[in-house]
Amino acid sequence: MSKDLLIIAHSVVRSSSILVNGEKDFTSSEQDFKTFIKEAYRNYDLKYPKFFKMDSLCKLAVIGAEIVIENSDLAEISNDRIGIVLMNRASSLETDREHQHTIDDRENYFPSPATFVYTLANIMAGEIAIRHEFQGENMCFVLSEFDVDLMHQYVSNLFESGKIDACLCGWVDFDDSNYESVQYIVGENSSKNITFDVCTTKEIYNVK
Amino acid sequence: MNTAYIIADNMISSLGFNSSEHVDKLRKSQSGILPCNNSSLYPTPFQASLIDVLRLNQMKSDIDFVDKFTKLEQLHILSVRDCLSQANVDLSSEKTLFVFSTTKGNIDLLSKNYVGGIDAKRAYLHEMAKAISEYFKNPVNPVVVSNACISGVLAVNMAKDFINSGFYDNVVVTGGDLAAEFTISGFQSFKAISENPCKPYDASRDGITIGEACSTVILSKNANGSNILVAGGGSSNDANHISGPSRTGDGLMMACEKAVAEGMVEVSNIDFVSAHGTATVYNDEMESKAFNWLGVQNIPLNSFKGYWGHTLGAAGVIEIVASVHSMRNNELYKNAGFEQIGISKSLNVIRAYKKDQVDIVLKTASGFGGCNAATVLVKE
Amino acid sequence: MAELEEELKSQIIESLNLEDIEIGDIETDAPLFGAGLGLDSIDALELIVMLEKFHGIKIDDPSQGKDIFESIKTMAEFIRAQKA
Repeated sequence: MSKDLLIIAHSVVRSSSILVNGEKDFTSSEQDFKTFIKEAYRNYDLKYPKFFKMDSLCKLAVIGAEIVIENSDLAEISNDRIGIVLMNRASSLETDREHQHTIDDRENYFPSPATFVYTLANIMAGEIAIRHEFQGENMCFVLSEFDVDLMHQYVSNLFESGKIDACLCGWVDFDDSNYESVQYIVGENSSKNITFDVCTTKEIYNVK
Repeated sequence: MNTAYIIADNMISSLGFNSSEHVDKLRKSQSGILPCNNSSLYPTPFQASLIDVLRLNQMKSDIDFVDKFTKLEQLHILSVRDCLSQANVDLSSEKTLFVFSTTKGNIDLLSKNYVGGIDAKRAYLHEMAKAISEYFKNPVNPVVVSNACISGVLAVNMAKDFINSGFYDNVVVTGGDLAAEFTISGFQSFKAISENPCKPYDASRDGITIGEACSTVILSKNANGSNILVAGGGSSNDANHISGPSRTGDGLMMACEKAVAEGMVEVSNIDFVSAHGTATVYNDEMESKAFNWLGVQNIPLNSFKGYWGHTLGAAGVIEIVASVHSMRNNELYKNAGFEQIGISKSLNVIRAYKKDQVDIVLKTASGFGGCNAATVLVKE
Repeated sequence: MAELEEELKSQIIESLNLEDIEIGDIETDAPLFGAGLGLDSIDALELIVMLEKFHGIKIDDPSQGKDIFESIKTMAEFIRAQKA
């Protein structure tokens, strides 16, 4: 049996507020997601103009990942040993509806490549990978709810098979103005003693 | 422990409704790509590989699901049923898991022109998955893998991991995507669709052909008479661009290396590479770099896209199934559409159908989001 | 004459979601790709859609875009030539 897996850092983004390791890190009085996420971008000073080309799901994923990665010391880990495993409920449906809208009317038929490219759920993992140069294992699941057991089984397996040394895990969902991101980095070394197990993950997810 | 056997399989595409119909046409190098003039799919004519709707209607008329399931769901059900006729698997067991592989699922439900009576909530991939797994009375929450064009390869890799870890005894991996207006219009806006049937690795290749397909494999911890194992898997991200392939092929190379290492095979012993080969200029070029880096440039290689087009979420599954038949029959299928090599680093693209010993196969896929995946299949 | 150029700048900012860039920041002669605005291959495809949607000009071969989208000036010249 290999070493126990630990949660190095975690973040939660929901209801116009951002928690890092369980502590409130940023809140906004702005209820509208697009305005809130832009405020968050300015707050964390990402300096990443590509951010504004992303759809809402990717913006949510990138902000949630940014703060959790910033709070994890991954310097010792090679980029091709850092995996990304994400889950959500609505896949990319928010942007799917937008693309569908551009082709519903034959008289006004202008499908947009900049929209279409975001009609895949895993593009959020791609955006995070590009920003942080993570080249390890990739997986994107679509499920009825955050399945902490599946996440634990799948990610533990990746560690046990020796394919990764760290993994960004998360539930990142955006649907019809409802949004939620819970992301955490799992690794083998951490100053914090938070075990990566089903129970702890549920606690992180359920925090209000 | 390595005991993830492939015990049953099905392919549904323009080439037919089961694997033997496909193998028959692969042997004759017969493509299912045809000109399509259906303005409800795209305003102008295009090439596509489409499932025979008349036959689908005939096949489903004997079953009780006609009004309860979408076209894609019907295909999944037919595909799984065909597999069940080949192997005795208890789908009602808690030790049997359904894994779906799709990019867009029931995306046709979003269109305002949709005329069927299925609830729009089935556009949610997990709702589609649940409807199908419930039809088969499976008690486990189904898993949907939706990771662009590598979904199928990832789903099979995951099924192998979950069997080897003892989480499940049987995993049904079923991949499907439609040639929907949604997808065709999107790839057209990307200028990615060729005017002619796609020509993977060819000098005159200029884009993909969209295809629709549904394909299923059942993986089991028990051999059930099969001698083909999913032995290794791996995935990676280029971390380069969300829609453009890597310039170096590093991501694909890394995914292959992991699959080969886990499968405990030597690169030089691989008998056949079932590559992704979408026939876009940049993808095939990227693959040629990755495969030369890996050292498989002299091993017989094909892309099946010339037969049934790019079937997106189904691609990994249907191409693994075709590779399994290549192993069972010890034969190599021609790379349909290929005439003259058109990549900067050479590859041994299969020019004609031939009999040959095929014991170890490397299957690869790459997709939007910069993702790559590879699987190693081994004959015992 | 410069009206079309100004219109193109505003359409580009809108279509390509260029945050924090205003019409005055885009020079008519400056290259659009490369260092300047940080545009990429998806933006090039989006410019093709923009030409069709706002100016009724269809480009079938994306490789044509390289010359047309060199700068605001070349875009405007192309549009004028097509409409002449």
